[in-house]
Amino acid sequence: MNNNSIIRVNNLVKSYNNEALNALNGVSFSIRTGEVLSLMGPSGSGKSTLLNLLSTIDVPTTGDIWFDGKKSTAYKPYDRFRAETIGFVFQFHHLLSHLTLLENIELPMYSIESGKAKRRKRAEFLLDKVGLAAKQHSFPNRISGGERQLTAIARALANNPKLIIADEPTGSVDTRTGAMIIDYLIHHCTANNLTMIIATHNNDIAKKTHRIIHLENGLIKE
Amino acid sequence: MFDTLSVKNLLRNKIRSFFTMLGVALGIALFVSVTSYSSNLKSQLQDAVTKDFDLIIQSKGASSPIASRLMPSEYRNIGTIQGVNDVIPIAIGAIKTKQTPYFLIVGTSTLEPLLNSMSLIDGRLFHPDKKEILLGRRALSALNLNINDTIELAEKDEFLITGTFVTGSRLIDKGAVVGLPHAMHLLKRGEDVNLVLIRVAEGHKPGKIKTAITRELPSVSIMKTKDLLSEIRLFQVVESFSLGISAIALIISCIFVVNTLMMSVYERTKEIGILMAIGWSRWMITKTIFAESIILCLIGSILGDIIGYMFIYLFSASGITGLDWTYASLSPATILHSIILALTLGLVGAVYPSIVASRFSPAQAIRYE
Repeated sequence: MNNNSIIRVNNLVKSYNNEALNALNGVSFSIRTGEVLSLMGPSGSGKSTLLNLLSTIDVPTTGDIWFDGKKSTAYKPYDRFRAETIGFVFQFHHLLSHLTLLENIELPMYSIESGKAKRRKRAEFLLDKVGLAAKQHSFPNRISGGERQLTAIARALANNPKLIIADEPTGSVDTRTGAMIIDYLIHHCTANNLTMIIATHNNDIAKKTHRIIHLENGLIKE
Repeated sequence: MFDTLSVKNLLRNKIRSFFTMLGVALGIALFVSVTSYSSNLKSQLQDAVTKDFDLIIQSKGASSPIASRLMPSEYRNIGTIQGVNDVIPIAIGAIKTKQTPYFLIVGTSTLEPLLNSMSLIDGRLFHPDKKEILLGRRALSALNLNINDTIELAEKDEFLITGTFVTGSRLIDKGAVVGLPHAMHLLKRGEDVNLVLIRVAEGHKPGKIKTAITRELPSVSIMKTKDLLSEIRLFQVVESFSLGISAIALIISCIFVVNTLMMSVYERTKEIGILMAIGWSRWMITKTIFAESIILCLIGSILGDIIGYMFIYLFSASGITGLDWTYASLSPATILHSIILALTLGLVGAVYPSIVASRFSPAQAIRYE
């Protein structure tokens, strides 16, 4: 971990329904490169909204986000930026059911890697790393919940992202599998100096991270 | 790049994809069968009249040669125009006989100028004044008759079959040739004929002779034989009608494609959101939908060509129209046109669904249930 901020968030506000509902009420913080940060808070506190804004799949109503010293709007239209920089792990694996594990992992690579052979090789490598090499041609409905989430992690790592955003990645698996998944993610980030933000309700998971940010009613609770 | 994903997407709902392909196939089949049948009909008629003759005269405003009526006074003096070699009045029409409801009769005053395009394959020519007849090879075989048999064309009106001919035109080969006065009698034409065929003398240009005849006989319509079919109003109507029917069928097919793709896009809202979240651009989403549409339409066009060919084959073979001299054929040009149409259909059909899909907000799409 170094002292350079990979993300800086300044007075972030996100409103819905013509500002009738504020999901975020002016959030400011920064994250250093290589830092593993957990985002805690009750349901409706704004965790997912904040992750959506940080991952550029949604835009703030007001306020700024800075990535690597550049304002987020500089990365418009964001898709290339997302493909190259961000690895997304959802609460539910969100694998495409009609594609094999290998094909699912290849999906993010379509944005930056046109060679089929290279994509396939990289996908095989990642599946091997998460211990699912033997199931590479299986479909998601033929494997366990934990294996699906490991596949989703392999998909998130497909393009060697600098930032991993995980929205309750253990929410759909049992405690033991969840701990194994978190350990794998933290180990991978630490070993490769990657930054990770994990939204979680689980204190045990949060304790494993470098820093915890508590959100309540769209504000950071000091 | 997107072909595998697109094929897999289509295979997710095989029945829906199949019925969409079938919809496209039926549109293409209709286009193919109508176009082929109409061009086949045209080429048969063109072959029947255009070999060896340069100009053709019919009455002004006639929708087809069958509907044309030319009085002797209208063509009697054409032979005196310089550069005109042969002038052959022709009576043509169909009569109903005991054996067939549609029997084509061609009446001519002389056979010699026709012999270049009509080969006598057995027997002898007829005497125009006698009740003698030449039957096309297909007519002879279909009616199960032989040379020197007689054929009753009207009540107690028997003709001796003196020979059989082949022209290469299935229309004429399924009919008969008799002397002009007999044809006029059988067709109840009085003194009128349908057409006058003109052969221009060597060294003279058909265009100049056409101008000279037009000047001399402003009351008739004269055209080069190669332009005959494009000048026949009936064919213009048939062609416009064919195009109209094909266009409607293809529009319906296009609606099928749009409907299927729209259903597919809405069903995959969440999936599209996920793809966008992991870095897919709107253009990549658009390309996938276009690929799906093009695959559907191209397979539909192949299926449509097969169905279209089967349809015209059955239609020709059944003889339900009495036009059993037509035959089933699918030209490479028609197949190429059907593929181009299918591609256009695929491209047009994918425009709206891809716009809808590419405008999804990834954050909202991921939450979609």
